[in-house]
Amino acid sequence: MIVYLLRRFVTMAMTLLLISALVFLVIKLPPGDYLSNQIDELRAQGDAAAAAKAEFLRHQYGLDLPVWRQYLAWIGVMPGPSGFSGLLQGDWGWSFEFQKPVNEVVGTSLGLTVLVNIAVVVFIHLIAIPIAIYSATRQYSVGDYAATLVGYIGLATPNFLLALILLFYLNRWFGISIGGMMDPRFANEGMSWAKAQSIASHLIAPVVVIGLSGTAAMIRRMRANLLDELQKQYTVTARAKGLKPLPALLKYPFRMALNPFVADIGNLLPHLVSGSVLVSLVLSLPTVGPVLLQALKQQDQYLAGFILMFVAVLTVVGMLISDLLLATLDPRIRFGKRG
Amino acid sequence: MEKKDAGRGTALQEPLVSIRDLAVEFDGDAGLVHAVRGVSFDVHAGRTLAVVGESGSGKSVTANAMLRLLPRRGRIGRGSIVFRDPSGGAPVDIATLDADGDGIRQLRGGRIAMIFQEPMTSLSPLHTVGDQVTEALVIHRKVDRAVADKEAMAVFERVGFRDPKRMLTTYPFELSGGMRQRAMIAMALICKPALLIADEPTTALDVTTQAQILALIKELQRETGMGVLLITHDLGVVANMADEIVVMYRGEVMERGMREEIFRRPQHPYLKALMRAVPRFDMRPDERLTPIREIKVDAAALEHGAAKPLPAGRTVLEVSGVTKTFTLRAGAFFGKTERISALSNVSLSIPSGTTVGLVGESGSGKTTLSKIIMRAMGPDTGTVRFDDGAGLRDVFALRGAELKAYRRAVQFVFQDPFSSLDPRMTVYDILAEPLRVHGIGDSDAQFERVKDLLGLVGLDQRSMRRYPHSFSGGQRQRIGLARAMALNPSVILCDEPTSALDVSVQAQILNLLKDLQAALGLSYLFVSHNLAVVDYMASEIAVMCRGVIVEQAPRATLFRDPRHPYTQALLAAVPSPDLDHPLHFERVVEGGFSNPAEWAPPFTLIPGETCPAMVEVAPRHFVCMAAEAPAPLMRAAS
Repeated sequence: MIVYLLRRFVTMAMTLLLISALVFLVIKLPPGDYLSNQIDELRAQGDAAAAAKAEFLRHQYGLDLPVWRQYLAWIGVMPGPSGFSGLLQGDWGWSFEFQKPVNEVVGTSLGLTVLVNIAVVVFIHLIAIPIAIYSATRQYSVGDYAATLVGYIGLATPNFLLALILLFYLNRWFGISIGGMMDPRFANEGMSWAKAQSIASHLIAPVVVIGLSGTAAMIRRMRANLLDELQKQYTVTARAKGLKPLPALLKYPFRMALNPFVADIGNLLPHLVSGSVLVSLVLSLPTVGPVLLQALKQQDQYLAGFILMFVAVLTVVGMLISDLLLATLDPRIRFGKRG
Repeated sequence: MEKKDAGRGTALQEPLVSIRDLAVEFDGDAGLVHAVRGVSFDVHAGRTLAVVGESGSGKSVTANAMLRLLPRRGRIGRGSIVFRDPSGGAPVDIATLDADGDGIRQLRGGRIAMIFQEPMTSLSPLHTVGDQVTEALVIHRKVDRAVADKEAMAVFERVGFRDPKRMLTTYPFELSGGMRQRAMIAMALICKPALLIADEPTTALDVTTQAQILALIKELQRETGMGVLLITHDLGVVANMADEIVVMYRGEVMERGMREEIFRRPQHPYLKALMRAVPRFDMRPDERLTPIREIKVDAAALEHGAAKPLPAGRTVLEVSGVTKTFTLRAGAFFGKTERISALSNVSLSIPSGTTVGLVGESGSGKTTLSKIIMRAMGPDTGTVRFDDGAGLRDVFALRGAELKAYRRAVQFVFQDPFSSLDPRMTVYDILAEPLRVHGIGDSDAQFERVKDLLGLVGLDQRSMRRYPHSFSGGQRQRIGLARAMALNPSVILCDEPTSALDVSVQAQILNLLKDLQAALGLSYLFVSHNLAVVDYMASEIAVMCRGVIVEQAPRATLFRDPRHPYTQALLAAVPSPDLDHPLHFERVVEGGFSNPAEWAPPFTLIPGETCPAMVEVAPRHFVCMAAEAPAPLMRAAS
């Protein structure tokens, strides 16, 4: 087990290294960088002093170095203009756009992103699993058809559209503003009970909007999985022992049907970070998504690089978690045999 | 037909279960399906009632109805199932209970227990055997964990597990099929039920394991006095297990009575036909099985068969000294590797126009051998040679066009007719595919060839446009055979071609194979675990165990004079549908005969120390005995 974990950690590190190289390469692919673009602009405006200052900054941040030197300095295995100071040392770099260190730019939004997305994951599972169980055990009943219909509508509705509709009608009918993460008056306050309440009430709409298609997809897949498992002989065996229908369902077929979802956790985490950009824009949520979009457009390289690396780390860690969970849930994987 | 109890001479107590005029219906896609139509029978305490019938006869549906475990589309149309609990309480009519109510749940697992055909799928792979076995006890007697574990260990010991304590934490996939079925039996018996319903309990098992499980059920019945309802299609099992017999056909009872009457004086034509369709050991060499529906081979189609067989008697395929070892990595977390010797020093030759039978239990290496012959994998050592008319040549040296010609000449018929045909291809596509792959003929010629092939296996021309799902198991197997015939092969490897089929259909397929052989001079390697079937088909039989051919002889010699302890055990374990040849249960329960290290000298084989060698004990009769190993080679294989 320990050997296995060590092996996994080594492969994870290799994967992340590879991803970091790719990420940096992709960000640097367009010609120029944030500062050189700015310098061009300033020169065009004839502001030589500002241009000279930018030129100085460019040197200061090592943007005039070759790409590979920049990369190695960024991850922290080579000294940059200010010594060893890269991701490995915990220095996430400088955002040119915001004129702040990256950790200050994304610090709060990362927390909020994680909060929103955990809420979404919980929401998806809480809603989808009971509905899926209901419709699998009552296949072709009215309720099943209704759930299926709602599910398809959920799948087919674009998130941002739903967000716009909600934004408009909730405000019009109930006078609620659902944009943002909290009431603006709490924005600069410390955490308090009232602030938490405000955040919670503002969470509802984004969670529903972001989670709807996921819920619909999960209902469909869970229902299909369960239907397969319900046909299996061991389900009949459980009933033949005299188990009540619901415990029999939860203990045997349901547990089997969970496997693919556990295996999905690795994909779920990063998708939730990067997948809700549109909705976050529409609802003006201060999550990482819009920041990433902006950073990519402006070639704010350290900021974009950091966010992409963050997503990559989430993916890799998510994969590890799902593999470990699978092994806990399914003894066949633990012992490496098929049965 | 009233049951004739007079023969027993005793006033019987009231039956445990009385089923009267039971009808079960299903909502099918094409309207109501009457799966069971007015069935009546009784099951008595301490006795075994066997329900015999082919698939689709309604026997399993009847059993499921007795526990109200029918699928959602099924329901009891009319009739009663009265259960009288011998431990007291008023008789209950199960047919009137709520299918998911408390009443039936108290009976399920507590008073009436059920074991199923597939021990592989009847247990959940995610829960330990201990958990699943004690579950019924916890539900019905509300005991705590410690008591439940203790009782489970007692039952484990009773059903023959050597280490009962370990079984509590063992997962089903760590057990062999026979062991899983024992676990199922333990699960069924832990609450000491009054009635055990066994739905094809041994169909998926090897013969020796089957004999052990049957012996176990018999023994437990003697101890507990429970009634047993045994559902099976195997008349051999029935002859050895049943006190009374009910024969079902298309949802109705055709005949019922005591075992003696049924076997000595079968009345109903269906039963008589069924009995004639079962291969027996005492058949004359030229005797033919009589299937209920015989297949006519289209004589005109035979004319187009272009295969020109070798002169009879010449060796068409020869396997010599083939050894194959697999390396397993056991577990992602505990990276141990394990070497398994799948085949060791196997030699076999198939004379043209004959059938060589290969008998062995699961895991004996039969499939590995056929894969090596097909050139789907290579052996570690040894050769496979094939004669296409120009003399024997090493199959593994063939390249390019020669290899392609070999692929055409050696074809395969699979065991499972359901998964070996692509459900998305029509019969025409399935049969024409090999022709297309090998670029034979234009589309008109291919069409003609497919028509001929269907004629060969006795299927109607109109089947061409249909999909496999609309055919029965036997018909699908015929399509599989037609596909194998498409390229005019000279050798066909038949891997358990009838083990998934009913006896009457099995007789059809076996006769068809024989007819095609007689007409086209085909050679077969016929792999099966069913000795009677191999006996019917093959002229030469090889018995395989743990990758070693232990005995090889002409058919008559092998059955008359088996020398090897494994062959003897195998023969003793086959239940014969003949009352005068009962199974010797006391012999089979000993076990150990499939472990080469436990064979009596001089047959003892200890991996790594001894090497199998074939010794000719009588003309053409070879038995495997131990010889000193060429040390380094065998040590690696252990």
